[in-house]
Amino acid sequence: MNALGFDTAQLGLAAPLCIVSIGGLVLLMLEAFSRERGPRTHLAALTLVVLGLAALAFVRSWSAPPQAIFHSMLVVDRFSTFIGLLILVGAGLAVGLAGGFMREQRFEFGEFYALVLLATSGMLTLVQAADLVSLFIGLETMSLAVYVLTGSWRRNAKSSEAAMKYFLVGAFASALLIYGIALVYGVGGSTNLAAIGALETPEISDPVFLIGALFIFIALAFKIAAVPFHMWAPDAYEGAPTPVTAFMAATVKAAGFGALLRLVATAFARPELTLGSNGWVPLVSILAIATMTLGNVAALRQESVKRLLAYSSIAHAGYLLVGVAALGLIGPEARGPILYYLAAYTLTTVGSFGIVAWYGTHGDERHSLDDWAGLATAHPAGALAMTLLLLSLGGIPPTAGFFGKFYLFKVALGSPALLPLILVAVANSLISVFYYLRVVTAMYFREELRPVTVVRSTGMTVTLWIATFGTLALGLFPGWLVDLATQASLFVK
Amino acid sequence: MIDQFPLHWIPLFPLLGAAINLLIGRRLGRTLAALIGCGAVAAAMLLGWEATWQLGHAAPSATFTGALFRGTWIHASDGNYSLHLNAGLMLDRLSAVMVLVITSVGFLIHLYSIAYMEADAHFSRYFGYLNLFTGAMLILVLGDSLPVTFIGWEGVGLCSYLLIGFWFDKEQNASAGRKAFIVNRIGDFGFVLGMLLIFAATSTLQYSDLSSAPALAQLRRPLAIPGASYATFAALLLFIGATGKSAQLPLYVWLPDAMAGPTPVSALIHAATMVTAGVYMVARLHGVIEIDPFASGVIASVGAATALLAATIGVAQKPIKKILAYSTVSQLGFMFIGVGTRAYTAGMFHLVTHALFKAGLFLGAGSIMHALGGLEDVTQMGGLKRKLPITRWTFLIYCLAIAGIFPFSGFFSKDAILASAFGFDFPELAIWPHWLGHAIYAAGVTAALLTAFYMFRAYFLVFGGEFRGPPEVHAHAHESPTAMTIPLVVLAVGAAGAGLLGVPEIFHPEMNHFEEWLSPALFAPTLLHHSAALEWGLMGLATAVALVGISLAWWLYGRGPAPAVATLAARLRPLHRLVENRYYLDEVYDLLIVRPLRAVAYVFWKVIDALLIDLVLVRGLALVVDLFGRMIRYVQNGDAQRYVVGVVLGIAVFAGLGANWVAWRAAPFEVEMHGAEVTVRAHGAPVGAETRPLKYQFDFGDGTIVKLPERAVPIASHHYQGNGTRRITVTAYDPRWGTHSRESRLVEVRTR
Repeated sequence: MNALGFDTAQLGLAAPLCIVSIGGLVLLMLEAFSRERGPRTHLAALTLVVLGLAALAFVRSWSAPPQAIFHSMLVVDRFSTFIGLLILVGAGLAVGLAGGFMREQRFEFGEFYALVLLATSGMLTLVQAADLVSLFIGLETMSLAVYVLTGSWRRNAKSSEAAMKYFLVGAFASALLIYGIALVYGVGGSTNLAAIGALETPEISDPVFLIGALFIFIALAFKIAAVPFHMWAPDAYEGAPTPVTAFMAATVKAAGFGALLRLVATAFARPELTLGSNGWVPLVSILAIATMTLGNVAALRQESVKRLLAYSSIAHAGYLLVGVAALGLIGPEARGPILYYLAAYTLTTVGSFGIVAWYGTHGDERHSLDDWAGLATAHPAGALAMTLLLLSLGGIPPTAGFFGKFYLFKVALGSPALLPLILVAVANSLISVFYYLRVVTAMYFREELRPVTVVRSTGMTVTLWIATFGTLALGLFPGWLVDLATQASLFVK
Repeated sequence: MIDQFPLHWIPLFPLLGAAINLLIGRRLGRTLAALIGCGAVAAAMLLGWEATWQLGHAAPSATFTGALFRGTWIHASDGNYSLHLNAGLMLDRLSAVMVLVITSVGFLIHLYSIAYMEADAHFSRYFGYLNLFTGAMLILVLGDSLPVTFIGWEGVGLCSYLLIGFWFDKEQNASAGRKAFIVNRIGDFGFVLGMLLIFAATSTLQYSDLSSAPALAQLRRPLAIPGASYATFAALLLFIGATGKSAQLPLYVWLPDAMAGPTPVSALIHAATMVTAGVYMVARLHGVIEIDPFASGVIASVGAATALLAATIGVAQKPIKKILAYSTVSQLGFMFIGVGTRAYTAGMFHLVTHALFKAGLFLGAGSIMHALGGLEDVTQMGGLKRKLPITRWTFLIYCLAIAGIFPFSGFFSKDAILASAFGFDFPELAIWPHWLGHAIYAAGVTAALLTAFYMFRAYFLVFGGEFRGPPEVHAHAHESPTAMTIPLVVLAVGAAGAGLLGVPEIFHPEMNHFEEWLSPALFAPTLLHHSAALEWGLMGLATAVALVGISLAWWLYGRGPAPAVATLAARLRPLHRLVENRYYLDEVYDLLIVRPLRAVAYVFWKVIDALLIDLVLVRGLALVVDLFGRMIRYVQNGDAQRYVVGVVLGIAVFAGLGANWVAWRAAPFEVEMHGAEVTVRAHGAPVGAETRPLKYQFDFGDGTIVKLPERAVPIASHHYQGNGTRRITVTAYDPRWGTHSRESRLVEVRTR
């Protein structure tokens, strides 16, 4: 014990978070006092080192028993470690994409790396939060950094517009969250998740409490872009520089789901709050159906591949919400498949947006579907990688996406009440294959309209290889990750 | 005893070679592509010999284990079954034999291919496929469970398809590839079903478990038909898989067409290795197969029928590769006679010797065709012994080996099989007539006679007499380059000498090394031993028929086709036509299977696909989706204010639903009437909302209003005065949310 009131040994458990936060601040300083105006390769390398160290710290804490630290503000368990590692992987891949992209598009935004680390620290806080207050802090840290990242391409009007919109709507969601927290605290008298979870009947059937809980849910639904709280997403995803899109589509969603999964397992785990008329299962089910359907149907008509992928990533949140509903009806064994799905989704999403970033050169981003015609002839490896990633998004073997959907739907089948949801999900995957294959058809079966040009960057190439091979490897050998995800699912506090 | 050996590298080397050659082979240039292709197989071969060497120095029943990759490969379970599999590999004495054949013969064929495929534009693709095949075949034989074997099984099928259709720009080649693939799929279906049945019976798919007593006891349980067990069906289903891959009746039809591929491919895949996978599988699962003698009898009978049928067809074929193809089908039939009559070592021995002499025959045929600019018809050849001396002498050795002339290798292996068939009459085989063994033996001897005849017919037609084809072709004929002749010579040495590995006891009591090597892996099956006199007799008969066949061939074709050939063909015209046209079996299959399938497919296409799916589902759905999409675009117009409005509306909807849901669900009611006495029962709070304190108000429509306090059971009764129509209204009120809902209904009141 010391002046801070907690055992300093706890700092060791919080090492990943500390490493990422301090790393972010150091990088910010380095950029501020640097005269470098060209590519910031050294900053990118440093960022990767920081992320790697944090990942190492996470791996080391894998076998530690789950425990709450910092006066029960955070919790360290395998669940948060698993998602934390996913976030670090997503961030690392996004960093790998960013250097080449910024150099090609001539906007050297040195703060990029610092902001990625700061956003990551927010996400780690979010998934480790054991208290509504730390949850809010994590969410805000993450969001503010991501807003700036979205608008980092200042000369690009679309980027600024996207940032502005994201910020406006995001601010609204933050207000909703803090209001919800206030209401819950007002009735329950605590912001600690476990304490809220221990509340009894008079409090938890109080409309004020229920409205508060609803607001918290909706704020998280906003972050994971669930319909009808998704409307910022297509604009923000399309406007942001593509590596940033990859970063936020993958990691922000993973962090949001991490927080959501912990909330429903702790604060709102009582059966009255789970099923029933004010339970979150019906709410999540409605969100799931709306999100899957709208995401996929809207993607059908898109002419921009980037926007198509944006809608596709909305649809994926819908599938994941089916898993969340299963969690309420079946129990903790649904958590493993959700975690596996998140892992598959992270790799595939970063990979597919990465290829969008890689395609096209300065002043000529190739987003329109017509631009993708004939890519297979000019660049067979790129087209093959994109095909594989799209197949994974569509849930076709032998890719990671297939096993993600397979395990998720399989566990959801355990409850007959979820059958309609699964049928909607399967119908939706069917629809989704149509628009994914539209891109594939364009690449393979159409003549190129304009000469194919791509960004030449080693970092980008290596990143895309990693994401593509990872997607394939997880599809061929899903066993070990399923085991890890299962282990991670049993340790939520 | 279990030892570690890096087994995974044996298949991984060829697979890596395949990856390199297929991905970047075109940029490497020919020399490098060939080097990688051959080097990968050479590495696998050295590892294979090393592993076998170590295995030979370990205990007889030793098994090396390994895995393609670490950790779980498949894990699945439900209440009744649980499957946990690693991608495990194992090397015992049985798989060691296969590994040596695959890598050694494979290496020679790779070497040969360098020269044979020299001028081909897709040189690196060829070596990529060949390596991929080798890797898959090695996985097939090294797999320690049925699923791993199945991966290899499908892998070699794929490579076979790719290599048969290697020159796919000719429609005929492409369709031969398709035919091979589809016919094999029929067999694979049997394999998968057999695998599932074994799993259903024993809950395991691992070979080591499947030879254990408890698993075999599980398989002995009766199933469906009296007298039949799980093992009966499993064995027959797996054998269907074997008839597909190993070209047995009725699924052999793909193999002759498979000759469309490059000749070294025919040698490697369609003679020496892949087609023997079925034989290997039967030997590997012999514990399961021999549970029911019925299955063993089926295997032996099908083998005998195939051996005989294919041998008769081989007699009248003209293209040299077709002769060899039917010969392969026939020889595979011999192997199945061996494993079907429980002489597993004999079957495996014939597999090995056949791999040597048949690979050699194909490579020799390739050398001949190479010399003659692709000419295939043996009736057009002749007199080539001076032009192609090495090819000629090696070809002669192969022919002597396959005909079964002492002391060439085929003599020993074929003799072992025929001897076993002759005595195939174990007491427990009572389900089969006791003469079955003799019948199979008779078919085998007849097939052996025909084999000697058609092989030497081919030999004399190619090398004897004078050249009968276009003179300019003869002028260009030349011996093949060294890269092609070295494999021919090496294989000829093997074909001549390999028989010494399995010298039967009556020659020398301790020289059957092959049987000694395999018996620990095959659990020393009950081998039949005839009296010495009988064995000498059988051996003499086999040699006699072989000599008769050769003499007949010499008489008819020794100096080019004798006039007697035409006379004979004319006199036996119907029979000749029948045999020459392969008993019209392809046409029969076409009529019975292909055409009906086509008709069904046509109906599916026109009615289900074009009408139902395309028109109704696709177009109709597209219309709906399009409408939906327009709506979304209207909402999603880029206006941030509108987005916030969307959020607010969303909140309002969810909050409104939450607040009103209970009251909505609570108010509906049922009415029960007994004359003027009426009881009204409201639904009450739905499941899960019991904690919500609701209030109810019942209005009976005649001025009577009943109000119930919070949490009361929502039932009220009333006694009406006088007849008439009354409106009953129930209001459910949720005091916490301040929401309510109302339901009302008219009732007829009729007092008596």
